[in-house]
Amino acid sequence: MSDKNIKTRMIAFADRVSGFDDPSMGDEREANVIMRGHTFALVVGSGTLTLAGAGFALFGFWYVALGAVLLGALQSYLAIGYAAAHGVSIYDLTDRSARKRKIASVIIYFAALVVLLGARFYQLRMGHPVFGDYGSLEVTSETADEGIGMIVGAALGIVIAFAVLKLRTRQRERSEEDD
Amino acid sequence: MADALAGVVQVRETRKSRGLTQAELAKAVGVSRQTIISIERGDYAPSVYLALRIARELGYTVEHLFPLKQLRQGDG
Repeated sequence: MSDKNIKTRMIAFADRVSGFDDPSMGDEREANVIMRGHTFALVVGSGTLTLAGAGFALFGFWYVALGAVLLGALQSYLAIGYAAAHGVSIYDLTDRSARKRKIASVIIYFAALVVLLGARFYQLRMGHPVFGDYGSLEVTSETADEGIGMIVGAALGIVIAFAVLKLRTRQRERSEEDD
Repeated sequence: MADALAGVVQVRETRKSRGLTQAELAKAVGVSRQTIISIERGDYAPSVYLALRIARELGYTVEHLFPLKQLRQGDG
């Protein structure tokens, strides 16, 4: 099966799952409004899941916190994948978003990440979460090492993510120059 | 403002002159009455295909019903 066929099937499947071809989508204006509503829900939903993840981590529910963050990321990746199948790069378009919007989203997600990792680090070092005592553990050299390893890993991850984003921006700018 | 609403008035006036209600026009072109109301108010710029269907139903050209001066910033 060719790549184009796979893409077409994936798009058809996604449209079927989201009910895009269903009469419940209404006419073109109503479909447009529904899609705007879903986009709004997606933005609020993934932001809420990320913030909820940070909240869960503060109370020691580490795996629930991770699950919430991954679920938020999954939502975004599904949207990115769907757009990519249509030849639209959300990454490239996000790069062009208004400065205020970009700064706001970076602050929210970065703050949530810092709280999430900070809370886990605190739990691993102190033996109990920031609030409550769920998931209390015995502090050993291993848990301390795990905490440091997590922070180093996260820092590396952030550096790599920023490097990749920078690289993509440069590639996009170059391809636009070529055009 | 009068210029900005010229096309909007065109659709409404033309529909009325044809003796069609919003619901009848909506049914004829396959959209909801609310969509016709939104178009007549200038809240929604229809797609080319819908504009063509409305024009055909009312017996005018798209340019007559939706003159460029109707388009407001952000309508595309």
